[in-house]
Amino acid sequence: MDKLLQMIINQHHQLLVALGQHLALSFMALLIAALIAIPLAMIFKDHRRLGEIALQVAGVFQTIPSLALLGLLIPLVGIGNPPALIALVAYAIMPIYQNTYTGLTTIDPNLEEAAIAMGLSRWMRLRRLELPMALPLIFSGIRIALVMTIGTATLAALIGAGGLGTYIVLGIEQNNNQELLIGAVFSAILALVFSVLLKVMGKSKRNLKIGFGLILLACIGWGGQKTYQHFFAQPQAEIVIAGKMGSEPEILINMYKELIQAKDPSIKIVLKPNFGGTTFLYQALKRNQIDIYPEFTGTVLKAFAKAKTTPQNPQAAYRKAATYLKTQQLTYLKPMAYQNGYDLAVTPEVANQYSLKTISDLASVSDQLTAAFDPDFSHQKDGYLGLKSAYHLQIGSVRSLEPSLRYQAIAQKRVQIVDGYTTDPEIRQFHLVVLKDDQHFFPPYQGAPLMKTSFAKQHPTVVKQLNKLSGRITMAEMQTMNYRVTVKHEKAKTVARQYLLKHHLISAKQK
Amino acid sequence: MIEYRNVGMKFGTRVILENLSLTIKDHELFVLVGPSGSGKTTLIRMINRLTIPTSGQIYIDGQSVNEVDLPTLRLSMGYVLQTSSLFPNLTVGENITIQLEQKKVSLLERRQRATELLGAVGLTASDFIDRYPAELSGGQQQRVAIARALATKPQLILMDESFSALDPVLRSQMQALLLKLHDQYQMTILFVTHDMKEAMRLGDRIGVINEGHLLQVGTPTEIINYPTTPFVTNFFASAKPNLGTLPDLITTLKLKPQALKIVPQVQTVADVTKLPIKEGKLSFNFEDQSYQLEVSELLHYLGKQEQHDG
Repeated sequence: MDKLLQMIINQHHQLLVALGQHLALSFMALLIAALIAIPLAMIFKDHRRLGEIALQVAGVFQTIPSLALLGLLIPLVGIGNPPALIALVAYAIMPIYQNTYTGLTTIDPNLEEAAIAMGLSRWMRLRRLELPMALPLIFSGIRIALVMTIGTATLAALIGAGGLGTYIVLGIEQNNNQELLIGAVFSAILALVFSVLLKVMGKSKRNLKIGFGLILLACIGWGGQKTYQHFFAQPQAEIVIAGKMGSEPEILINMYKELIQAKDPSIKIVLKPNFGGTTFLYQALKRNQIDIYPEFTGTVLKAFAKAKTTPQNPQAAYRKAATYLKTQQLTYLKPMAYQNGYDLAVTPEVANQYSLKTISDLASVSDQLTAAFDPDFSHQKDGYLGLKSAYHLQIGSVRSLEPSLRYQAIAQKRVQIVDGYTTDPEIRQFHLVVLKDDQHFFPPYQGAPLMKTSFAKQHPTVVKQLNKLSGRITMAEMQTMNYRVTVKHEKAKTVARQYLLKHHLISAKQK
Repeated sequence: MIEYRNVGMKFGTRVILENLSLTIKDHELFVLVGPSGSGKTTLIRMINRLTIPTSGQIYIDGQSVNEVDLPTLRLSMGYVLQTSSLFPNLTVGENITIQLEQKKVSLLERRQRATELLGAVGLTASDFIDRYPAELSGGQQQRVAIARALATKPQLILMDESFSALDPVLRSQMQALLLKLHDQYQMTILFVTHDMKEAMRLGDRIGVINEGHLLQVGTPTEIINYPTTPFVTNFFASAKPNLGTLPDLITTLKLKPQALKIVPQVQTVADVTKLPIKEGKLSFNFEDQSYQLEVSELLHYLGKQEQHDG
């Protein structure tokens, strides 16, 4: 709990930014959804057949899993806010429309008749009678939509729209419960607070007017700020560098920034850490939404090139990946030293007891040991299945555990062997011993900056500076840096800068 | 003047109204009475075009209602339904003046009119004008509904079973109020009811309708004394006050002949009810016997007779 508070205090600025993004996204979505759904219900209330059809259509949107919808939208509108907004609007329409429609169509027919018989116009009836009478239902619809939107908006983090979801995604990726808690608790609080506010707003006409006034003010303020930025703030040529989820990409992109600005401080660089998953970043790069991101050779071959086999030799793997990327008009700079591939790690006690250094050493004693593997790893040919035959392993018992739980299991000595990635900070945190893949079974995963070929041609300085990292950073160094950021909560920027200074890749006098 | 000329209404093969003609004079309180399903509500709804007749025409002051612009037509008349049908989201004042709001009358004028009308229907304006319908009793709600119908100073008010949902005491009060307002403003009122007593009490003239046919039109006296069809006779039979007979009264109340000096001779129960009350008692002579009874006893007896009527 103390750690949690400490983290909130340390990161209060990022947290506020995330909260802001989350709120802005949710409210925009809600506002747009309400502006679509309420007039639609007002039109369809006198055309019941169409109204019912619209209800069904809105229901269909509701059934599309949010992740799938986001995925479907990326090829159409790219990444970031637009697809997130569209998806959230699509989800929010249904509850608002349904409640408004129900509210407007279930008004006592006696009252409707009285209003018609008195000669009140359609608009008058709608404004003075139907909408006010349906208001409690409309408001509850908006509240349902709001709570849903704030919840679903956490997924926006996956496609680079930021928000509180960043903490949740990070927390899951890094097995960091504090981050997870921050993301979950804050989005829950946000949903609760605004749900209550909306309830209060719907209580009386006066509250309603105050509420609408505040919303209007907020919109004007926000719009004004955006307009100012758009017209008056000098737009500068900038380079956008993004990274996948986790500490390692964040450290790397901070290094990229330092290196580029060391040479040319005038270049404006925007960092987008924790921007999304592999495919999102790859698509974003192709659509010029980002300029550079670090990618692994093994991932290029498996995920993009869909290669059936990957060369065992790291250089060969890099060449194959770079060749493939060239066909996609992408330039893959030279890789760093460390490998971030699969590994097997054991507890120090076991390593001592059986003097284990390599996976080959494990073969003779493996039947006495227990392992916890990631479900993917344990069932893949390039995972345990292949490893077993390559090294003739006979591990006594193998359990499939969620990635986040594996390290917990080994920390509590429930198992002696786990799979993992070579640069995982937990290796250092729990003092695990990584066994050497002496037969080179695991495909090589080396990291290198990826960018568009056209971008590389326009920015030779950038290419030159980033190539300074080639062949640098050992596995141990990367593990330590990850450990400092993930476990010790140091800033990625600081850690990156210190590494560059220590290795004289930049000089101290420059800021 | 409202004229129904050869009006007919059919739903498929079902005939609701057949070739019906009727004239309602200006300033009269005309009651259409008939059992439920007789077509009387259909008739009233044709005037404000909530229902369009399948044949024939309706004329107001010589002009067909079809030729009048619909909002103008409807804004020119008041309408009171069975249940109060006040709008729950509007205050009493807003409810009363909603038609004026549609006519773009200023807020100040609307407020004045609401105050005036609340007074006219016997409600204290300052107490009621800002309340919501849910805070009112059934009778109060119906008073407001009547006030609402008066808002535009209409020449015509349509009332569809407006008092049917009220209990007998309230109904009687509302009938008295309606008669008073009619006296005061002299507007034409078309009142639909299934209650022949209500018809007798309210109507300047009454139209009796059954199964889509207008059977008889006349003043209450004409209808009750000279019914033209057996249906009208039967329908209004129970509207005649049924007081029973004097021997009936004497046996029911177990009255004993008493030695009384000089008491008036009577022949019927109606005579008894007109006797002067002395110390809470009534004394009379019937068939050479003298009797005395408490007023409360008489009231009890009359109440029982009323119940027999159903």
